[in-house]
Amino acid sequence: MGVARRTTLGSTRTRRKNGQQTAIAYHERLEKSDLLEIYRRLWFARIFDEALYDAKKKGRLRRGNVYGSRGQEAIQVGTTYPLRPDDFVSPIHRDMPVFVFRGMTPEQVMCQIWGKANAPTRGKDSWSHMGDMSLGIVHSTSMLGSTIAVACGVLWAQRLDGRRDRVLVAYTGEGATATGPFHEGLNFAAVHKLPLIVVVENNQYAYSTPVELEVPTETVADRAKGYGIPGYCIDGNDVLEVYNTTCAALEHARAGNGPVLIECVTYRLQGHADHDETRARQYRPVEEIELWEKRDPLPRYRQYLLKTGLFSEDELPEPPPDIVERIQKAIEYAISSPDPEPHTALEDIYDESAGVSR
Amino acid sequence: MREVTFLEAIRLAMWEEMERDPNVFIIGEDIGRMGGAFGVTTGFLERFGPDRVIDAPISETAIIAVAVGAAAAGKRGIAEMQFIDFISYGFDQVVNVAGTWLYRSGGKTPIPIVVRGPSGGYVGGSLYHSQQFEAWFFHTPGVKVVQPAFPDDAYGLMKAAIRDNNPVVFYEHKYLYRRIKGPIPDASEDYIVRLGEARIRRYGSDITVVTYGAMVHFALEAAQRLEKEGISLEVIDLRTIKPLDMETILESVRKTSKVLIVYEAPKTGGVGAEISARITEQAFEWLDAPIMRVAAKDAFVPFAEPLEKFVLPSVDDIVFAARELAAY
Amino acid sequence: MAVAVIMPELGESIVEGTIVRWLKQEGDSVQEDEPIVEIMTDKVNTELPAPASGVLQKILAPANATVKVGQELALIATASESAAATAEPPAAPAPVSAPPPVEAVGFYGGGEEPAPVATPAPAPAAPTRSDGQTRSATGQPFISPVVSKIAREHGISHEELLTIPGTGVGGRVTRKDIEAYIAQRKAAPKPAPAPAPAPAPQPVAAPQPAPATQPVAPREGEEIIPLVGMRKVIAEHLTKSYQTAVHVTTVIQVDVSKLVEFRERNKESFQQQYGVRLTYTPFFVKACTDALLEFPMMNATLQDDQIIVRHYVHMGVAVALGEQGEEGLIVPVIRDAHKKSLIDIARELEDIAKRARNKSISVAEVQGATFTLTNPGSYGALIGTPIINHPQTAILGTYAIVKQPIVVNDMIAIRPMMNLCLSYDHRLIDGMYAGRFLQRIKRAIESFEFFK
Repeated sequence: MGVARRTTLGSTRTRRKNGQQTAIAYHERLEKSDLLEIYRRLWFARIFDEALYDAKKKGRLRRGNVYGSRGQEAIQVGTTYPLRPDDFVSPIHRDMPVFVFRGMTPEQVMCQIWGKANAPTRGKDSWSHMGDMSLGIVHSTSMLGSTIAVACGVLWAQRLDGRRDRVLVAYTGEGATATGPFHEGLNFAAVHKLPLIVVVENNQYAYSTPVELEVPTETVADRAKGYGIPGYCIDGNDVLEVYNTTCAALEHARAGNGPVLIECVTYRLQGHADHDETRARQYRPVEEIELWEKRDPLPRYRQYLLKTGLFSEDELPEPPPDIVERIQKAIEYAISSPDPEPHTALEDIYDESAGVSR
Repeated sequence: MREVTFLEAIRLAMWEEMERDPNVFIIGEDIGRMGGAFGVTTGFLERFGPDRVIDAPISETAIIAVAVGAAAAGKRGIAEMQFIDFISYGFDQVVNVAGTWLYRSGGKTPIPIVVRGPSGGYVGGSLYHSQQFEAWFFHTPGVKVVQPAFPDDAYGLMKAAIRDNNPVVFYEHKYLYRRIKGPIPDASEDYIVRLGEARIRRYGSDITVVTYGAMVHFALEAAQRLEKEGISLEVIDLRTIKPLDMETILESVRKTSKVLIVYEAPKTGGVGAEISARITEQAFEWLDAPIMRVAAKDAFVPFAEPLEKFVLPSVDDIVFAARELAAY
Repeated sequence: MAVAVIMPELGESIVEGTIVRWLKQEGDSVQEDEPIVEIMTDKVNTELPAPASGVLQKILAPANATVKVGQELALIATASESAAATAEPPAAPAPVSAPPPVEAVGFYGGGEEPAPVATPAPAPAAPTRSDGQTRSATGQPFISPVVSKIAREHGISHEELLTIPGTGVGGRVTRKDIEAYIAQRKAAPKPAPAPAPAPAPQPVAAPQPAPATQPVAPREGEEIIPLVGMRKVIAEHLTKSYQTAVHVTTVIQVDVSKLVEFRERNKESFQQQYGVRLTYTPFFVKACTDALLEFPMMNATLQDDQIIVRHYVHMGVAVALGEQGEEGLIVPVIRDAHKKSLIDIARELEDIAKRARNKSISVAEVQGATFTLTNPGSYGALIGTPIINHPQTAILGTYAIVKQPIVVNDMIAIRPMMNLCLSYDHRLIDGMYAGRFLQRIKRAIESFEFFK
């Protein structure tokens, strides 16, 4: 027993040097309705995060961790907005809003978080470990990096179906780029020129481990050279830069040129999970956290919108109240949903519909 | 009927399934241009093309993961491990990704894959080319485990395993590949052997021998020798390790009241330990002697011949154990 | 309505913490989100915020107390009705201290939050079957399970077994030896001793000794049946029970109209949806189980001078064997009934009753009950004085449902009525406690809140 010790780290981390930048400003073809939708999605992601932290603190959510993604909203929105309905995504634990952006309802996501009988996993697995192949959302597990390798299989199936234009956007943290499966997956994808976009959310910390203890190169995007694929290192808190880079990557991949790695530099404003809030302010310098709070993607984008002259202040509420209400409703729905019956723990272990087994 | 080797039976099963279902594909090291380290996939690349016969890099994780991911998206993947020992590289994909996917998708996303490869010793393969660690996957929910001993079973079980909607780990004993020949049905018969059904390869009255893989042949040889001494062995070839066919086993136990379980893997914590426990639980009042096991010693399979012989079970080991059991 | 402050899960694998100090005292007003208590765990020192605004009514865990995740730490009285939290019992500790009073809520929490996962109470270990088959120090020969079984089935006594020539190790009798003996005996039959008509799986592990007295010659009009097997075991068990516990029986009458109506309306859909025949028994199991958690002395057992109070319920449900009940009574057990839903209980009941009747039930499944439910009503009895199933403390009998005129709101109404007869051990239980226990069950059945 004891209080967590304060660690001394190096100097306050600042943004990495940019790698390639996209030449084409794809965002210029966005209409006013698109710009507003992007704004609203950023807020959805923010409120989602806040509502869950609040529910956990108040004991309305008792079981399971909340992995906050505060400050990383621009990545979630910017990488999904340009996708087609039949593209795939493989989100991980800090990408919960992506599930909703790609077609799951907030109710489904909340039921999953609350471990209810009507959750996508029927209470069998937690948080982001869910999916829906019919929506193109690939299920994931806790085994970091494995999603990159599995993504190759999903894309191979598309190849067998003659659909080489369907892209898969796989999310990963900077720490997971150290794993074997990450390497084996990206290696395979590059060898076979699969349309795989790997989005590395470099939020600088894997739990308490800073990026310089995970990645030996100056940027994570430098790893791309090892696979002979393009690697971008961009400002992950600028939603339009993320959008533009994603559009460029999609073009590259759909043309059959193989995978692309996009490193979005951002910062994990909260702890690794809700139980880590106190420690996360001890193993990191508080000045560093405060510096990145000033780079919050939401006010940044709002200012940009106002500068375009297309929007008045009133058109950009902070937050949009209908979104707050929507998320609360989803939480209430989940709380009042039934718990799974105990005996269902033994269901769905085997699929015997092929009839070839006892 | 066609008379083929154990290896050829497996090859034909996969070929016929790939003909029958365009969703079936195979990925592994050296399986395309070379036709596989043992020649199991000879001719496949020419017939089915590089999209369905993938020469993979040395990445067992990726090999299995490609099969898994494609299965999640509606295909049927066969992932070859050049030696099944190398499955340890892709252990996570089998146990944590493939095995759990159905469970954590509300039953909506089955993963029909077969992870197959040559297993077992007696060929001087040493530590990493002789393993029989089927217990790892026997112990894992969501995964099935198969180990045939004869060509007809290898043929029928491979077809069934490919059609089954669950991850199946398929052990092909390399000692049997070219040494065993036997008849298999013609392709037109669409012959499959259902998983989870054991087969009595020799009927007897004194001792029930439960076994699988190469050990079936060892047990049959021991049975022939013991017949001359008036000891009659009933040899049950499990064929599928998981799901386990306890019905066949228990019926035999009720007949003989004496059980000898023979398995090539290290004794401790092996499949035989579970079978023994279940027989005690379900047929205690039918036992006339303790349930005995013949298995490999709790060691790795060493290189030098006298060492390998010492570690792995032999026909003599089975004969001696059976004699003791008969006299009990 | 009071809002509880609950100990949250402060970190992965954190199961408990210690209260360092309360930042607010009883009677203080608190605001939502205001820190009110400091908790220490081995990873984190944390201040917990108040879940609602109001007055800190009661501190349940004082400073230095160790608290488990999910445990109630304090109660906040709010001005308005708050649906944020309900009083939850703490995770089950070792069964020594009495539990805090639990509010009588509906049987199914419905729209409330899921209860925290209680650490499972230590279940009594199911003893492995022992027929006394070990080789004794005096060198008695070893009798294997199958030889013992064959001997039993052919009425071969232990003494006779010792006379059979053995070819096994140490001269033991093998299966082949006894089979050969039996075959040869058939060829030259000897007068057989008193048969032991016991079914293969016995509910109570007891050996079958030969009858101690010499067989008496029957007089005219008389028939001699030896007391052996299941009947003998039951006789011995009931004698012990009756001579140990001080039996008192008390009766209460229950209006089961809602129960009967529910069953009539739903038995078909139940069968379809759950594959289970809907009887009244699961409801009584549920009502009884809930009442036992509230009146744990009913669920206790007296061993020497110690009363062992159990906060878990293994419900024994008596099943009559044989077409006319002539094959005796067996009591299969629904383990951890307090954790099971009504449907689980209904399913399990159907299964174990079926297996009890076709004799494929195992020893473990008839052991370890903490309370017994019996149903003499199934053969029409109106009232009875059931005998307690030793070493339990009480037994509840449900009796025949009879339509009767009763007074409701000062008017005569015809209602289906059922008597519940509770026999209890007066050494541990007094009349009022028993009466309140019965009232609790009566209320549960009459208000019929099983599916809230």
